[in-house]
Amino acid sequence: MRRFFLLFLLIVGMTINLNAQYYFGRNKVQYDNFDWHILETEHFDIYYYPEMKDLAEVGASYAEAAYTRLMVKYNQNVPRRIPLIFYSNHLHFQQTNTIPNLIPHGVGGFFEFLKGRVVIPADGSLYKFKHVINHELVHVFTHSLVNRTLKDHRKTNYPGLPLWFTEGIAEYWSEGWDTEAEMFLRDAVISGYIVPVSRMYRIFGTFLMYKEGQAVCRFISEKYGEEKLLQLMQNTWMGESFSDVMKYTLGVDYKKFDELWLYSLKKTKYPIIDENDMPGMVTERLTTRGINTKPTYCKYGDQEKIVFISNRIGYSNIYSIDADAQQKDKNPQVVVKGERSSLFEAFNLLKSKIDVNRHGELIFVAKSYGKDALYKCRLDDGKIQKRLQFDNLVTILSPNWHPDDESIVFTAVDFSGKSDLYTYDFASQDLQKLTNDFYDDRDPAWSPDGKYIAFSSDRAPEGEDGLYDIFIYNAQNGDISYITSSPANDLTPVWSPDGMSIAFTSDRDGAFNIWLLQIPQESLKLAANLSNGDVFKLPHAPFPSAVDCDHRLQKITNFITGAFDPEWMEDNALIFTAFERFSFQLRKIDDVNALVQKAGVQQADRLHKVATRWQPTKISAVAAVSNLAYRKKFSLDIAQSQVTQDPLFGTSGGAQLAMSDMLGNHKYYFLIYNTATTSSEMLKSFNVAVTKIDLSHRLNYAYGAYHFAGNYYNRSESFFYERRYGGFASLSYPLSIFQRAEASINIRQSDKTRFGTEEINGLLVSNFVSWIKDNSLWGASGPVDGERFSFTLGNTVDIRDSNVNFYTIMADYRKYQRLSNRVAYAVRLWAAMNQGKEALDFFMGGSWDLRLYPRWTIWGHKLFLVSQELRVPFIDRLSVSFPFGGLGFSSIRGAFFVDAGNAWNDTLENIRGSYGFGMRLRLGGFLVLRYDIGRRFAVNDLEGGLRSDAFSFPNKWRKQFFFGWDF
Amino acid sequence: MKLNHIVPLIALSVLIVGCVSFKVVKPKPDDDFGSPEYLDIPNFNYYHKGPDLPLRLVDRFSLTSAPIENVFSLGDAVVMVTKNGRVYGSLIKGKKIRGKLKLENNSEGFATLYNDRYLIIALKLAKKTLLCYDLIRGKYLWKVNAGLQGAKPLVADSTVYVVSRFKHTSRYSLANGRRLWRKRIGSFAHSTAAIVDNLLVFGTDAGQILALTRRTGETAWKTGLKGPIYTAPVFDGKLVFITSVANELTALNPENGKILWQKKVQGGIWKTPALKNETLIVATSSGLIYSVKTADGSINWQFSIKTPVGTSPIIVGDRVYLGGADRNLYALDLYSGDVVWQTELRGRVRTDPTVNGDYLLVGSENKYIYVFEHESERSQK
Repeated sequence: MRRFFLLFLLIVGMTINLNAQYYFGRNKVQYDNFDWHILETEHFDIYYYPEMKDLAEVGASYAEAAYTRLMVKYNQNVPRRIPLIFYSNHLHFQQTNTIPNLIPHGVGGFFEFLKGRVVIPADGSLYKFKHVINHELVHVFTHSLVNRTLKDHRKTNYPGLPLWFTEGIAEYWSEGWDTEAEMFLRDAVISGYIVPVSRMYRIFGTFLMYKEGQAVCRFISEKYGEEKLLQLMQNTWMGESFSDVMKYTLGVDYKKFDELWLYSLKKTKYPIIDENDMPGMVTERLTTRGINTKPTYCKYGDQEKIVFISNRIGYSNIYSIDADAQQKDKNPQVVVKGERSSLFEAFNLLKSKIDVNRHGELIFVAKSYGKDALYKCRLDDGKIQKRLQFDNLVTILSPNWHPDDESIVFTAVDFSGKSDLYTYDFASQDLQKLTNDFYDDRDPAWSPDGKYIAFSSDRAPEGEDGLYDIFIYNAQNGDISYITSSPANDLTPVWSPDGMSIAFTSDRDGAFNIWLLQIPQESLKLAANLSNGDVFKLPHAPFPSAVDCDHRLQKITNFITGAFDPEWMEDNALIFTAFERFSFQLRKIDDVNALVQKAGVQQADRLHKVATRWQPTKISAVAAVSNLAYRKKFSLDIAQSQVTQDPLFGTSGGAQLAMSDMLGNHKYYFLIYNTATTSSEMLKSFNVAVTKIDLSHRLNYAYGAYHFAGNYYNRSESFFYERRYGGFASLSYPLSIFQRAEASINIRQSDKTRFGTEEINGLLVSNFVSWIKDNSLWGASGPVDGERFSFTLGNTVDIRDSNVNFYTIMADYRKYQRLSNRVAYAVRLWAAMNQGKEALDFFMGGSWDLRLYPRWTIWGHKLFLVSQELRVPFIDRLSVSFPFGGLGFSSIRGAFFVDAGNAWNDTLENIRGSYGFGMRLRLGGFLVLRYDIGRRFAVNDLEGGLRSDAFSFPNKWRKQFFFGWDF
Repeated sequence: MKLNHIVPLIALSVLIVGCVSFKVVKPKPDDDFGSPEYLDIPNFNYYHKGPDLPLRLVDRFSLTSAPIENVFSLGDAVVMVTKNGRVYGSLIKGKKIRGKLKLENNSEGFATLYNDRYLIIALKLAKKTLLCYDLIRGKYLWKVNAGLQGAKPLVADSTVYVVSRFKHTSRYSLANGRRLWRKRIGSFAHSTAAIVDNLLVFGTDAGQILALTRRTGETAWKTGLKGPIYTAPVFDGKLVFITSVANELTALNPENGKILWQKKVQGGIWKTPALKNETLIVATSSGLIYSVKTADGSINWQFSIKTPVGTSPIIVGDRVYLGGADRNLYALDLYSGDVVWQTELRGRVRTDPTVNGDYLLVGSENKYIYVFEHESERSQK
């Protein structure tokens, strides 16, 4: 049965779990039906939907420019057309089926090398869109070059380039060096957690690895010459490891390179301490655990609070703390729980600010059912008063209360990918669009008098290079004026309570610090007077500016790393987010005035009197080679052949194929196997299965047909021959990312022969319906918080001979409760029943369910299991050294467990159980090795009742080694 | 030793010798290593005459891997070196490989043919990185460790000049591989050297042009340009022309290295230009081909193939041959830049065209060396 079971799982499993991992898993929901088109340019096939046509044309122009630049840099072309799949925003991008994985917020795009696809979302900023296109195309060119090099040298099974290098060079050759990278490097060097190249595996796949890779590439470029980066790729064939390749290219291996690189970093970063400080050394700490961002201060009634977003427990929540509490981080109060329900699927931790008005009403944004929703809730009890979603607005960011406490201003990215400012009045339910262009307008903030909105935007000429200035929107006449203009990023403006100055974040001095711009009210009036009407409706009109105003610009923090999201409190205090020790924490400056008096006055910006707008270039659909509606073209994803030899079942051979279209919405799976042992059996021993899966709509479906035949074995039926053929169909409807309903039908003819004589034939029909929920949060070896639930009903009937007729009920509930940040309690309740004629058995025993019992040695028509586990950290880092090298392991987890359960047919006579301790070692992000040690116990003779002598605890230690995630 | 041991040993020896050696069919005089002032340096990428256009494909050789940037033709034989460290020999008119040789470490290398007999190979990664192979006798003349190599060796005045990747330039005797001098140059280098009167001139990755005296290796002059420089300098008897990946073509005074003129081009120059009379043909990674006047750097014409030029341009009479990453082999008119003939091959064209009498040979990355001849030749034959 095992072989049959595996084949069947392969086919039916693919259909039942259309888009989820194994049994549970979250769902990738197709909330939108995109009408895909293809824009064919000289080197690209660009996939887009009509709503984002303008953006696609700009992206096409960026892509062609990047191609030309990289072609010259690499001195080679990419000898095929490159598919570029664009989405107008990140929430649409999260629906892509080009890869099966769920895409988290931080992923800005990816290159999938199986089909050579590049998948990129826009996110409001054209510069970032361009950056990601460039980044991914560096991957395309690198992959093409290395592939060619290895082919030239006939090196087929070569490890290739390490990820830190491919990502590092993609960042370096698309972005160069930027303030963000500088911030991470400064912090890593000064805080002492910089990871040398030789140990980069320790931070594999992390953001730190990206930034360190970028820094390494920069160092190579500056010390050895930029051409060495290319030579490292061309020399991939030379060594068994990248350290060898480095040695043959740069003359130094990892060890020597690390010495040089780390020394150079120290030499350049340490002197920065002379005139700057780490935030932790000079400001008051408000939080300590996790990432804490977007603080807002509020005072209502007698309450004075700081509200912020944090992932301190793994899930992102909105918290509040008393502004005057002594130990602020000790007991923050959860206001809104995120990432556990469909209402608050995710908060945008790093991009979207929150705000509280004078009535204690919190306004915030959360992803909900495929797009962002605005929520108004009471801070005191977290009760939601209003939930708003707008038809055409997909991403919503940084809502800010008007001083009248009735309306808000916010940024939103619409379906076409444009980022603009909007206001919404709760009383009149009136939504107004304030700007309407392709510039990225961010983080609006109302002035205390409600006349102006300060915001950050890339609409200045330097915005084409990705730089932001601070602008003022005059709410009376709609004019937009400059108030800063610098070759730097000026972000997140916030008005002082008196409205006389604006604090903002800027990287003018090489790191993000807080700056203060004092603007007399007369200046704002003057700015308005200088304008000539409604400028944002006139595409080529010059910007007015507060050019002659008496501005006073001061830098009030001197942090080595970075400070973000300043927020005024009363009494001249300022709270903000600071980056330090690879973490974002809230900090406070008690007396801004004191800093202002100490800080020198900086030279005011030279504001443009007349500035022309920058316009992105486009490749229009007319100028492009062609513009076509999307048509499915299938190409191979996987093709593998296999020959197996089994001493019991003999030799068998076969092949598996998987094909899909460019967007990954339609997939075909083919399986062909032959288990014949003689030529006469050849025809009837073909195992064939075909499955079609459609993921293009919210309702996913699959159907297919199969024919399996061969000798099988299972523990309950021993050896038998079975020929089974039929068809199946299944549906999966995700209610949200956490829950889905599934249904399937399977019709097959089963001809089974036992012991060469006994024959059982049947035309079987199986129906199943399931409801599945999963909002679990995962740790190193399995879930640590949340819950998972699966409930299945089904029946199997022999519709011709009534030889088989049984029904199935299965329920599996798992609950995880965090006892502290690193300790979790987990419980599993599993019950299943097959009842009726020829009901199939359930199997139990082994590391995945009833531990310390041999795998699948307990079976019956009915089953129950209760598992409890205390998941604890065991060894954080283990290094084993040998004379010939060493091995390093991280995150070895421990688990104290107690299991109890059994499987039976008619009467449950006893309960089997086990208890003990286990270790879990995670390898490479996909495999967990499990080792359990403990003892069994049993509760015997249940019919006689639960007596003390019914319990037995055999005095024997048992051990079990297997693989797999925790339940 | 018993007879039953000897026979298999002999058979094995024959097999090994058969595998590792081959002989070019055409007999060559067992001459010496050239005159002391052998100046016919093949840096000019120029052939007086070649097959008339249009060309037709006569034959093609299938190799185990992509060929390196040069294919060699001598008499009626062809010698092909691949990126995976194999050397193959055959007759131009015969598809069959007649002999093959495996290079140490399966290393990619750079090769120069001297006097139609000696194949000088500089390996990128091996213990002995400079080899001299006698094609007539079918055996190595010598092998030495010259450091990891990054460019084609230059053979002149009975010696071999190599510019090693790791900051050295050396001169070796062609007769026995003895090192005559070695000069530390302080920078990585991937440029083939060129003879400029009594100087050896080459570029470095850092963009420096160095001129060393040929006899002693002492520095005569050096000039800093924008680097890196991967091409060989070209000397027309009056000026030295240097091209760089930093999009520049520079003319230098050969006596003191002084910059006489500079020309900015679009795209990096990775391939050595071709020279005829007072015209330089320069090809870039952006796919542009320039015809430049040697006197002042002014441009006669330019032509774009839109993809990086994969080969050095070769001038054959009044035609310029070059191959592109678009898989095409082009023949341009030397005086107008017009395409007079082109053909598409199966892979990107990366091996410089070579002329042998009535044949033109070129290689592409899909592991083939193609042999072309004038279209009417076959019909006549």
